[in-house]
Amino acid sequence: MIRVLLSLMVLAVSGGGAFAATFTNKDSETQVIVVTEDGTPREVTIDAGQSVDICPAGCFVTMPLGDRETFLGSESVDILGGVAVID
Amino acid sequence: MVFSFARRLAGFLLLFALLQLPGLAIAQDAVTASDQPPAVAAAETALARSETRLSTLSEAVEDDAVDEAQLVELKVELDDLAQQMLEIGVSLRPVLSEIKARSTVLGDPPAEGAPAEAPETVAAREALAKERAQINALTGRAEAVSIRANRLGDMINERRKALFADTLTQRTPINGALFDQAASALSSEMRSFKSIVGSWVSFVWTFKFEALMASVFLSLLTGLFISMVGSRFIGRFINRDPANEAPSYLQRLTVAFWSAILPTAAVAAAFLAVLALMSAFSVLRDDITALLSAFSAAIIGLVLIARVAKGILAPRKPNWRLIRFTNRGARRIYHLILAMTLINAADFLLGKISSILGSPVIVTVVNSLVATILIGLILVGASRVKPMVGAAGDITAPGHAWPRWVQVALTVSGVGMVVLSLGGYVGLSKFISEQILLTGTILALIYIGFQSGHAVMEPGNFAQTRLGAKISRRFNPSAVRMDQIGLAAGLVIDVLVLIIGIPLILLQWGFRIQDIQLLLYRAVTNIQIGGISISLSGILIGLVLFIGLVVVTRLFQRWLDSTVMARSQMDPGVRNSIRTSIGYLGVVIAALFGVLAAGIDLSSLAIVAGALSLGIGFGLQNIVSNFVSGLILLAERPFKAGDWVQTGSTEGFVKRISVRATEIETFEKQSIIVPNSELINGTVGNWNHRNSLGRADVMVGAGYDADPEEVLRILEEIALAHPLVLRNPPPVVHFVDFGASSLDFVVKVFLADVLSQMAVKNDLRVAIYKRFKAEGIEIPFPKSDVNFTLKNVPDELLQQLAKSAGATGAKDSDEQDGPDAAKSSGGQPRRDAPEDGEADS
Repeated sequence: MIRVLLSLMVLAVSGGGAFAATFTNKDSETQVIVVTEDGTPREVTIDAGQSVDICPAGCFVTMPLGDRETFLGSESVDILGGVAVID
Repeated sequence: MVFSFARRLAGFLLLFALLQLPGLAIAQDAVTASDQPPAVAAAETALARSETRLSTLSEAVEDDAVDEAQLVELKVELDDLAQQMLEIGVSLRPVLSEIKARSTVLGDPPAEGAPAEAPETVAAREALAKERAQINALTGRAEAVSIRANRLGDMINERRKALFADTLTQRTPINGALFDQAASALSSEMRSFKSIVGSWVSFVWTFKFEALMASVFLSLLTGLFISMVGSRFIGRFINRDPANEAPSYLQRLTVAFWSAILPTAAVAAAFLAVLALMSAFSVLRDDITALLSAFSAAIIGLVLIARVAKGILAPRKPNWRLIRFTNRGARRIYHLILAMTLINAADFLLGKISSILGSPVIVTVVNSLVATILIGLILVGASRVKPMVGAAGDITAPGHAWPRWVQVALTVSGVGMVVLSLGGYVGLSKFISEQILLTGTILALIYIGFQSGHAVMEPGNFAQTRLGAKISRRFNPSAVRMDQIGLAAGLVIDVLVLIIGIPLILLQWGFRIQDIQLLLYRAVTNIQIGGISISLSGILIGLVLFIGLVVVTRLFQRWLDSTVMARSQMDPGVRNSIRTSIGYLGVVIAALFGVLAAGIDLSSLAIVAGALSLGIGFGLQNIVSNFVSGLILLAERPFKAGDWVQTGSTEGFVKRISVRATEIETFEKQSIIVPNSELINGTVGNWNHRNSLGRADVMVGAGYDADPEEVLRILEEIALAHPLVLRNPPPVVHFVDFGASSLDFVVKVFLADVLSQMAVKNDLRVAIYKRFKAEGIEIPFPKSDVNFTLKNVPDELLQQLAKSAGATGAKDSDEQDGPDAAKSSGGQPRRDAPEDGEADS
C-alpha cells in the first residue's frame, strides 16, 4: 500500500510539470480581472503585491481598464497601472 | 469696408484651412496605417470564418438526428475552434503591445484646467484609442466565440451522456417477430456483404491485378520477416524453458509479460503493414478498409487476451503458473476465457460489419443477444469451476471452489446478463460484458506489473535479472547496494505500471487525454482541505531539495576537510570542530529551504509550537543545555579529539565531541558518553591542553644505613641516563622523609609525551633496583622491633631461660631487668637495630 502511495508521489513530480500563467499585481491597490476559462467568465481579485497562478489551459482576461488579453498558460504577467505587461 | 473685411476674412479662413491640411494628412495616415498590420487583417478574416463555422456547428448540434460518432466529431471540431480563438487572441498581442508603447510615449492627457495640448497630439491620442478599441473588440469577438463553442461542447457532452444512458436502458422486446425480422435482415445483409466483397475482388482482379499481386506478395514478405525476427530475437523472452524445473516468480512474470505483449505487437505490426501496403497500392476501397480494420482489431484483441490468460494460467506448464490454481482448474478457466473472448470478438466484428453495410439495428441486437447469453452462461460455468488449491498444496488433485465473493460475483453477473438480455436490455448486457473483459484484462496486466515490481524488490532477486547482472558486471557494487538498486527498480516498475494502467482504464471508460491531464495537474498541485491547500508536488520538491542540499553540505564538508584544511597546519581538533559546525549549519539551511519550497505555511505551525513550547521547554531543558554546551566546547575548545582528559570520575581519551555528549575512551577501551553540560559545569583536567609535557614521579625508599647524598647522586644519574627524560626542565631528586622503615626519596622527571610515563617509570624503577643492588643499598621491608617483658616468672623458669639465652648468646640488659616492665613489647620501634643470633651483644 505504501509502495503504491510512493509511486503516486513520484508520479506527482511529472504531473507538476504543467504550470499555469502567473499574474502579479505591481500596483498599490487591489485589482480585479475577469478571467474567461473554459467558456465561463469569473472575477479574480489580486491584492497589491500578490501573485496568483491561474489558467493552466489558456484563457481570455479583461483587465481593469478594459484591455482584453489572451493567454496560453505559460506567461508571467505584471499588472502595472491597470495594464498588463507580459514578460 | 464690409467688402474688404469679407475678403480679409476669406483669406484668413483660406490660410487657416491650408494650415490644417498637414494635420489632416497626419490624422489620415494614422488611421490608414493602423489598418495595415497583417496580424489584424488576418485575425479579422479568421474570426469571420470561425463565426460562420460556429453557427453551422451549432445547428448540427441542435439537430436531433446526429448519432454518437458524429457528436464526437463535432466536439473535436468545437475544441479546435476554441483553441483557434486563443491563438487569434495571442496573435493580436504584439499589436496591442505596440499601441500601449505608443500611448506611453504620448504620455497622460493634461489634467483639468491645464492648457490644452497641440491638436496633433489630440488627434494622435484619439487615433490610438480607436485602434486600441478595435483590437479589444476583435479579442472580444474571439472570446465570445470561445464561450459559445464551450457551451456547445457542454451540450454535446450532455447529449452523449443521454444517448449512452438510452443505449443502456433501451429495451427491445424479445419475441418471435424480432427473430423473423432479424432473419430476413440477416439474409439481406449476407447478400450485400457477398456482393460488396465480390465486386471489390472482381474489380481489383480485373483492373489492378499487378498492384494486388504486388501488395499481396509484399504483405506475405512482411509477415515472414516479422515472424522470423520475432522467433529469433524475442523467442528467448517468451519461450518457457522446459529444462527449468522451478523458475523463480520473477522469471515467470517476465516470460508471462513478454509473451503477452510481444506476439500481440507482432500481429498488430503485421496487420498494419498489410493495410498500409494495400492502401499504398490503392487496392482498397473505403468500406473494404473499414472491414479489414475491424477484422484486424478483433484478431489483435483476441491474441492479446489469449496470451495474457495463457501467461497467468499456464495450463500445460504448472511450473510457470503465476497464480495458485490446480491443473484442471487452470485448464478449464483458460478455455472459458478463450471462449468468452472469441464470442466477444465475433460479436464486435459482426457489429462492425453490420454498421459498415448499413444493416438495420435489429441485426446487431440479435447478434448481441446471442453473444451476451452465451457469455452469461460461460460466467455461470466459471463460477462452478473449482480451481483453488487445497490445503495440501497438491495441484494435480481436484481443487476447491472459489472464495465466496468471487463465486457470487461470477454467478450474479452471468445470470444477470442472461436475464437482462432475455428481458430485452441487450445494450446494457453487452456493455457489461465488454467492460468485464477489457477492464479485467487491464487489471490483470496491472496485477502482473505490480507482482514484477514486488519480485524485483525481494533481496537478491535483482542481481539475477538481465539488467541487474549487467550492472553488477560494470560497477561491481556490494550486495547491499544491489538490493537497494533492486528496491529502486521495483519502485520504478510500480510507477510505470500506474502511469500506463490507470489512464488506459480511464480512457476505456470514456475520459479523454486532456481530462486526465487536467485531473492529474489539479490533484498534484492543489488539494484543498477546508482552508488549507496542500501541494503534493511542492512537498516532493521540498523533500528533494532538502536531501540535495544535505548531500551538497556533506560534499562541501569533505572537500573543505581534505583540500583546504589539510593544507593549513591546523590540528585535527580544530578541523573536527569546523567540520561539525559546517555540517549543522548546512542541515539547518537545507531544512529551511525544503520547508519554503514545500510551500508549507509556517504560521499555523508557529501557533502550535507556541502552545507546546512550555512543556517542550521544560522537557528539553537538559538536552538544550547539553547542545549549547556542545557548541561552547566546539568554540572554546578546552579539549579536542585525541586529548587525555580527566573529568570527575572518568579518565581517558576524547574520541568524539558531538551535539549532546562527548565520547571518552578509557584505557580499558570502554567508551564513556559524558553529557556536555557536565564537562562545561565541572572541572576537566586535560593533559594535552597546551602541550603534551608531563611529570613522572617515582618514590623509592633506601635503607637507614645508606648515605643519603650518595643515594641522591645515584638517583639523579639514573634519571638523566634515561633517553626519554628531558634535560630541560631537568630531573629533580629529593630526600623527602624519614620513613617508618626506610629513607624516602622521590625522583621527579619531565617527559616530552606524558603518555609515555608508565614506560619511563617502569624503566627507572628497574634501573634503580639494579643499581641499588650493585651498590649494596638496601630497599627495606617495613621493619618493627619486638620486645619481650617477663613478670612474676618462677626462678626455675628464669634459670632455664638464662641458660638457653646464654647458649644462644643473646644477652641483653633487658633480660636482667626481668620484673621491670620498662620496655613495652610489640610495635614500638627501636632506634638500634636488634640483631638475633649475634654472638657479642
